[in-house]
Amino acid sequence: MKHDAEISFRELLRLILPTLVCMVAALAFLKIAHAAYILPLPSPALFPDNEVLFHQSRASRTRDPASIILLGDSTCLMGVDARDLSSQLPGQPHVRSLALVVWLDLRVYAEVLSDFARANPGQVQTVVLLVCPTKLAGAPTGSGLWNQIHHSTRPGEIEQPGTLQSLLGLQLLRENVFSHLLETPLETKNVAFLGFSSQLETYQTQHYGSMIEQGTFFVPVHGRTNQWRLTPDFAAETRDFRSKMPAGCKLFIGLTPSPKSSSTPFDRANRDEVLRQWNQWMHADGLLTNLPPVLPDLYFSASAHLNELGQKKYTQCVARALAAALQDAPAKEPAQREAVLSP
Amino acid sequence: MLFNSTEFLRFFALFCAGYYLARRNVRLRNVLIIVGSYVFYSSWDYRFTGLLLFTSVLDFLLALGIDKSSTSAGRRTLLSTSIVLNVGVLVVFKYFNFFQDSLANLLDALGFHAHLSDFDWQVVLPVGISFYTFQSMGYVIDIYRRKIPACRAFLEYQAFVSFFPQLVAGPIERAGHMLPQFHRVLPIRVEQVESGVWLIIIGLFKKIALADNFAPLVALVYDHSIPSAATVFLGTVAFAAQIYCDFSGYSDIARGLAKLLGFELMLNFNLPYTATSMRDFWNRWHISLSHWLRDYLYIPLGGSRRGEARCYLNLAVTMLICGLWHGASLTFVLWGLWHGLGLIINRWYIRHTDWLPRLPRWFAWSVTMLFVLYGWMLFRASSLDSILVFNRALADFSLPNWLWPFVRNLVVLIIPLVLIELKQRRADDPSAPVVLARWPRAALQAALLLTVIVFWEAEPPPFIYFQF
Repeated sequence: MKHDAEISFRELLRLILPTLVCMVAALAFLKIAHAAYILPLPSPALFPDNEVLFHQSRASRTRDPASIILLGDSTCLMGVDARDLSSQLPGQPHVRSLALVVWLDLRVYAEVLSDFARANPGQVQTVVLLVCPTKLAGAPTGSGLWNQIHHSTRPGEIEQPGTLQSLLGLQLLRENVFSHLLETPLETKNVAFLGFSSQLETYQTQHYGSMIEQGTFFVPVHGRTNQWRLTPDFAAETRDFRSKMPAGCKLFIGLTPSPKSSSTPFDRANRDEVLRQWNQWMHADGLLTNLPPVLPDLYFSASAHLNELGQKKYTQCVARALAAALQDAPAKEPAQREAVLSP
Repeated sequence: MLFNSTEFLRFFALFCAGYYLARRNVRLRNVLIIVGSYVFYSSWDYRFTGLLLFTSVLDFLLALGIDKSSTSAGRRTLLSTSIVLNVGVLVVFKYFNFFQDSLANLLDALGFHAHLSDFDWQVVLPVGISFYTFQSMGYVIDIYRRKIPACRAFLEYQAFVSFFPQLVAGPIERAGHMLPQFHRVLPIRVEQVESGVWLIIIGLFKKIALADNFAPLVALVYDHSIPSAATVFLGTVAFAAQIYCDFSGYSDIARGLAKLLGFELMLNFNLPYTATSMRDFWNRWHISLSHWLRDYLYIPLGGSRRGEARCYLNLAVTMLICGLWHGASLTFVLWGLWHGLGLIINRWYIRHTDWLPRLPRWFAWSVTMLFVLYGWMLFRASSLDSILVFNRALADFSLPNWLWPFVRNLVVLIIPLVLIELKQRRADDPSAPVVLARWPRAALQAALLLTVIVFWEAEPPPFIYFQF
């Protein structure tokens, strides 16, 4: 058998090199285009998990007529529909949810509020802070991702080191180019309802920053019971939060409900006691103790998140509680209301 | 070890280094192929390498026996032994769970449910078993029919059965085509490398950039949503594209890898979605399986030689087996029968409608594609209940919230596929872009490769056909 027909090293190089040259040229072009701000910014709908944070980050710096701000973790984000709350409150004041997620600490919540107050001076009159009991018990928190999202010089870009894509600079292709062509399907329970992250963005916009989680909560066989506990570590961030509250704002705090299957006979008393303890650091204008500490399981999509039915029910509860609290709370001085405290 | 994994890239680079040194020594090269293939296969589950060895030793010896046997009874006995053992292995590993569950359901219905858990054995399906069993069985039948001489070199036969580029998902090769390649030194020509590189790139592109991005669209409809006519139609279009890109992508990579080693594998897909009849479709889709079934099942059953009714029955039986080959599930049985029905109608139409005007090409294509799409719905549905739900949903004309983003994704992903297919169709050559000039081809290959890297996953999703 003759072997002279075999490919030579030179031929192999001639075969491969043009492709490699084109790849290097394309990568160089990407880098230059990025440096020259020619590439479009990443689509906010690229990473469904971060989409909520992107939305709230943008909302905190946007002109908005809201005078009532909802703050809190994801139980507040999913549990109260800001649009419905607005329509159920006397006088139908504008409500905006700037609620975030449980693993961001209260200082981040305060930062969002401060930014909103700065973008909309003298407008915020009431802040409602709703968190899940787990947060008071000391759920681990951090702010790394938030800082990347909120303080990035190029909004929407998040560094993801360590992958081949980021090593070659190809994340630019995915985030800045492909993200505008391909929608990202959701992987959460919302997939059947919203389908894609862009729909999530649309939903959040239409509902003044609130979100929704579809589904039904399946009670675990060995269900856990509620733990009513306030960790002393929470004091510092609570005080920092309080100090950054816009002046003249009324602050109401409350705890979001748990499923009935994890309830104990003393939930209401325990919840109120923990709230009172927390308020020794917070000095809120009112405690939302007339909110239900537990709700039936069918209102939940997960152990802490309410579903559509639960959100509707809980929003009504919050509307009633807030209306009563606003009636009871003393009015602040107009001058105080105008002032905006910066950090 | 998936073709679309970093682990495989490392394995193949290492294998190539050894292969290029050993390629001029047939025996050494074949040993290297066998060792490499067993390493490749054992990366899934080393225990099943014994099964692969068993199948190849068994058929090698039985084929030798058939070749030597002087009586037709002896030859037939040995052939039957091979078929029974091969099919037996398939039944045990592939259908045991199905039969057990069916028996359990039956006993349950009869009131004997007390001790069913005692018999609840779950047999793990060895990857690629349907492919290499059919390939090995085809060899024995060819020997029986005296189409090829029996292979006397075990290493060559073993390398043929276990050849890793096509071991786990085909193409189901023919001994007459492949064994001679294991018998001689194969020069690795520049055109082969050129075409091989292109096939690997396009195969990876189809799998990683297209199929894996179609997958969540399909899952959205089939696993999560409340179905309606619109969602079922769009989801099934997405699945048709996914399964084609996934499987033809695998076949392209397999052919490309083989070319880099100097081997030529058969074409497994030839623009199937351009088919204008069901017969045409099966001449273009999974060609190695459809031709295997034609040659080793349909024709021995009598084909079209024993009258019209028998021909229709043969088509139905062949496609039923084709459905069962994919797995022990009633959904696959229905899919097979559906295609059998399509082929029967196709044949009836050809034989009985000479007096009718020929259907316009676009109409024939549309009807064929709708038929194929309905078949994919049967194939993808997880159960008979799901099929009923999807059928009922065809009368529901509501639209989901996510219709437009879904359509947009579908269009964005289908455009590159259509462009590639159009180019191939116009050139009448499945490796068409290779005929481009050097720099345009390099630019195209670079664009495809960059896209592949963009979507490359550290933990890649497996190919759909691995489960068969």
